[in-house]
Amino acid sequence: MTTTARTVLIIDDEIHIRALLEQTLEDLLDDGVEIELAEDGQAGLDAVRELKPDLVFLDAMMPKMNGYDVCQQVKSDPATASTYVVMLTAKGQEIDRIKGEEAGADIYSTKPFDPDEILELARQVLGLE
Amino acid sequence: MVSTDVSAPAAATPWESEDIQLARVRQFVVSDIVAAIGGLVMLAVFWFVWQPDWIWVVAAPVLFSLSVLTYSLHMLRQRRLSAAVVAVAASFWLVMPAITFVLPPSFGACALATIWPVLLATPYVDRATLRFLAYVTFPVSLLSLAFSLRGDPFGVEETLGTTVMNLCLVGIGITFALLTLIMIWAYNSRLQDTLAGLHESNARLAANERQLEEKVAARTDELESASAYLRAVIENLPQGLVTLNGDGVVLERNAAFVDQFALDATEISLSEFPEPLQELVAGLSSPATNAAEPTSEEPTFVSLTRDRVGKASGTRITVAGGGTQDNIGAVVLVDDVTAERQIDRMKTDFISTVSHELRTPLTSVLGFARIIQRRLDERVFPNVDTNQRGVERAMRQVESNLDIILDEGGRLTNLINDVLDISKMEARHVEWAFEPTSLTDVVDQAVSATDALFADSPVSVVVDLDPDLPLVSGDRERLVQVVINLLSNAHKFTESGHVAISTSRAMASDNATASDVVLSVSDTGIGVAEADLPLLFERFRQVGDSLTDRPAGTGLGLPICREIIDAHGGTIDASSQLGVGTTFTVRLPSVEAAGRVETSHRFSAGRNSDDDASKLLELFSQQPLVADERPRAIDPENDGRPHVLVVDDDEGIRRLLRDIFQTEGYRVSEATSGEAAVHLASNERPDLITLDVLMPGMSGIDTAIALRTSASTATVPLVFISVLDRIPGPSLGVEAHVTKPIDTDQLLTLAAKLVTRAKPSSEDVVVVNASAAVLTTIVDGLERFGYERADGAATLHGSSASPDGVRLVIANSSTDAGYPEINRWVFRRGNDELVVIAFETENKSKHNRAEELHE
Repeated sequence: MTTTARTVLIIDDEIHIRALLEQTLEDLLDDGVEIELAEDGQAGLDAVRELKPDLVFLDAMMPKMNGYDVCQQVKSDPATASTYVVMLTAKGQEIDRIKGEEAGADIYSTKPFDPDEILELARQVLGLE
Repeated sequence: MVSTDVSAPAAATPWESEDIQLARVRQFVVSDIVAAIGGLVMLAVFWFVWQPDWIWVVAAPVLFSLSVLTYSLHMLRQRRLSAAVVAVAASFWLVMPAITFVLPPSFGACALATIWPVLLATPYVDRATLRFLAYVTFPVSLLSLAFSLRGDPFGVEETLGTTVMNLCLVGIGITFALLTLIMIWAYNSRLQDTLAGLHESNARLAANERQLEEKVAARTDELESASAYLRAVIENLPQGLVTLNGDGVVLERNAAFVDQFALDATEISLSEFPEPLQELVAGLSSPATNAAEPTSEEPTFVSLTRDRVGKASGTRITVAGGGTQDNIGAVVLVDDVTAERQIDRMKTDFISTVSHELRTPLTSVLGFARIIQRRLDERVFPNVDTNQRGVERAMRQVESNLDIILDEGGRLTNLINDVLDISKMEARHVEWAFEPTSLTDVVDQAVSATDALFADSPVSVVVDLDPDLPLVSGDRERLVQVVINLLSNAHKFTESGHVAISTSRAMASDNATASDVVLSVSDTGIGVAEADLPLLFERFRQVGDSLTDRPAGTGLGLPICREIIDAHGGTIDASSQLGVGTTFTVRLPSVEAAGRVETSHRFSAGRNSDDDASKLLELFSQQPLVADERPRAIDPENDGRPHVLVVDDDEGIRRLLRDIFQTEGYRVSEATSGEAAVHLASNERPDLITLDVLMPGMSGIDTAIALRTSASTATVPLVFISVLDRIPGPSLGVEAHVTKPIDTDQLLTLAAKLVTRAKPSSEDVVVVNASAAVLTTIVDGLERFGYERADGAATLHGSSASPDGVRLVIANSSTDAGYPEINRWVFRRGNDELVVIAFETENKSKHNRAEELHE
C-alpha cells in the first residue's frame, strides 16, 4: 500500500451520470482519494495521460471519441496500461461486452448500476477496504 | 371339337358381321339344293326314257346329299357356320365320285367340284376345319380319278347315245359353271363389302382424327393462353424464379432472376448460379422418398448484385406414383429481402438506441435515489429531532417513497432488458449456445434461483423429476431463464398452496413423439379464463383485471419464454381453470444420440439382488457426497481439526478471519483469488470455505459457481463474506452470507453448524424397506466405504428411529411405505438437502421418484 494520493477519473458526457458517480465515490474523499471528471472521450484520454489515475470509470458512448477507443489507447500505452478501467455502458448486448473486452477493460458494468457496488468496487481497486 | 383352336380366328372380321357370312353360305347351299333337285329331275327323265341299271348309283347319293344340304341349312339357322360348310362339302364328296363312277368323262368337272367346298370354306371357317376339308377332299378327288380311268362300265354311251351323253356332260359342266359363277359372285360381293367396310372405317378414322385434331388445337390454344398467362405472371414476378427438372437441369428462369444475379440472358446453366443456390438445388434434386418428407428445403440467403440480399426458397415438384412421391423437378424462388433486412436492422438499432437513451436517465434516477436513501439513513435521520410533530411520519413516508422509486426503477430496468431481449430474439440476433443439456440440471438451477422468492411466501415448490429423462439440445442459460420465468410467474399469481414443477417423457401423440421431453409448471393460483389463454403469450398482456389486481412484472416474460422454446424447436402451452390453477407445459425434442442423463440413479433389484446391489454401490462411489468424504476420514494430514479455507483478496480481512478461526481451533488455509481458491479447494477438500464477493478477476460469485459445479467441492459449505447485503446466495447453493463488518460470534456459530453438518456420521445413511438380502449387500458395501454400522437395526420401519443428521437415504420405491417417512424428515429439517437414492425390485417406470427432494 502506497501513501501517494489516489486518483479516480470519471469520463462521461452525461452531466448527471458524472454527478452520480462523483457523489457515489464521495466517501472516498475521506481516505484521501481525489476524484477528477472529464466530459468526453478526448478530454478523458488527455486526463488519463496527465493525471495517471488508479481507477477510471469510462462511458462507452461518447462524442468525439468513444469509450472503447479511449480504453484501447489507455491500455496500449505502457505509461497508463496499469490503470484499472471500468467500462460503463447502457447496452448490455453481447457484442458490446466483447468490444469492451477486446479494448482491454478490466470490468464491464451495465447501466443502471448500483452505487453501492460501484463504491465497493472502487474501494477494492484502491485497496481501501 | 374342331373349333377348340382358339388361336385361329373365326372368320369374323370387323367389317363383315357373322350374319353376312351366314347369308353367303346359305346362298351357296340353296344353289346346291337347286342343282341337286335339277340333277334328280334329269335322272327321273333318264329313268322314264331308258330305265338304265346305273340310275340308282347316282340317284341315291344325290338324294342323300340333298338331305345333307338340308341339314346344312339347319346348321346355318343355328349359326354353326363350320358345321354347315362341312355338310356342304360332304354333299359334294358323296355325289361327285358317284357321277365319275357312272360317267368317267365327267371327271374334270367333278374333281373341280370336290375342291369347291374348300374354296367356299376358306373365308368362313377356322384353320382346323379347313385342314380337315382339304384332307378329305384329296382322297375323294383321287377316288374320282380312279373311277374315271375305267372306259364306260355301265355302257351309258350305248344306252343314251353319244348326243345325249354329250348333252349330259354339257349339263353337268353348265351346272358346275353356274355354281362357280355363284361362288365368284359371292366372293366378289364379299370383296365389295369388305372394301365398303374399309372405306367406311377409313372415313370414320378420318373423322376421329379430325375431331382429335380439333380437340388438340383447342387444348393447345387453352394451354397457350394459360401458359402465356403464367409466363406473364412469372416474368413480372418481382422475385427471381427458376425451374429445374428432376436431374437438376435448369429449364426456365424469369427476368427478375437473370437481373438478380446479373446472368447472361441467353445462357442457361446451373454452374453460373451462386454457390448457396447450387447447394439448395442439390438438396432439392435428392428425391423425396416419402410423402412425409417436406417438399421444401430450408430457405437460404444469397447475395445478389448491387449489394442486395436474397432469400432463396426451393420447392420440389412431385407427382404421386405407386405410393411414393416421384420428384419431377423443383422451383426456386429468390426473394429480394434487402429492404426487410434493412428495416429489421433499423428496428434493432432503434431499440438498442432507445434502450440506451432510457437507461442513462434511469441510471441517474436510481443511482441518486439510492444515494439519497443512504445519506438519509446514515447522516440525516439519526440527527433529526423525532420529537417534533409529524417528523417521524414524514421520515417513514420519505423512506417508503424512496423504496417505491427504487422498486419501480428496477421494474423499468427489467422491462427495458426484456424488450431488448425479445426484439433481439424476434430479429434472430440471438446467438444460441445449443448443447446437450440435462433438463434436470436446468430445473435445479431455476429452483435454486427462485428459492428466495418462495422463502418468504406461504407457497411451496414441489419438484418431481423423471430421473430417466433424455438430454435435450438446448441453450442452458436460456432454458433456465424460461423455468425461472414460469416459476416466478406461478409465484406471482398464487397466494397459497404450492407450485409444482415436473419433468417427464412425452406420450406419443399426433404432434409429439415419445422421445420428446415434457416440463410442466403448475400452480394452485387464481387461474386464467379459457378465453384469455391465447392472450397469455402475447406481448404486454397481463390477463385479468389489471386495475384491481395489478401484478408486478413486465408482461414480456411469457412471450420471451415462447421465443426461447420456439428457437429450441419445442412448444409451450398453457391450460387453466379459474380459481383452481394454471399449468404451463413445455415440450422439447430430446437428443436421442446423446444418451441418458448422467444423474440417472435408477436401477432395479431383480432376482439377482447381489448384482443389483453392487450396482447401487458403484453408483454410491460416484456420489460426491459419499465418495469425497471417505478420503477425509483417512487423511493423515487431518489432525481432527476442522479445516477452513478463507478466500479474500484483501490481506487485512484474511488476517482477521485467520485469527478468528485459529482461536477457535480451526485449521486455516488462505487463497487470495477465486482461481487459487478453486485449485486449493479441490486439493485440500476443506470443511468450510469463506468467500469474498468482490474480487478482481474471478468474483466470489463465479468462484462459488465453479466450486459448486466441480464434483470434488460440490458439497463443501460456502459462506459469503461481503459488504453487500443482497447476493444471490441461495441460487448458487451458498449456505450462508455474512455481512461486513463481521460479527465474530455469528460467524463462528454458523461455521460450527456447517462443519458438523458436513461431517459423515454413523447416522448418515438410512436404508428404507430393503429386503434382507439387498440390505446386507448395501451395508457391507457401505462398510467398505468407511461407514460404520450403527447399533441396532439399520432398517427403518415406522417412525421410531431418529432421522436427524441423515443426509442420504436409500429407499425401496417398489412400496410407497418409505416415502411418507422421508417427506416428514424433509419437512422437519427445513431447507436442508436430503439425498435419496431410490431403487426398485421390479421395473416400474411409474415410480419416477426424484433423487433429490427439496423442502
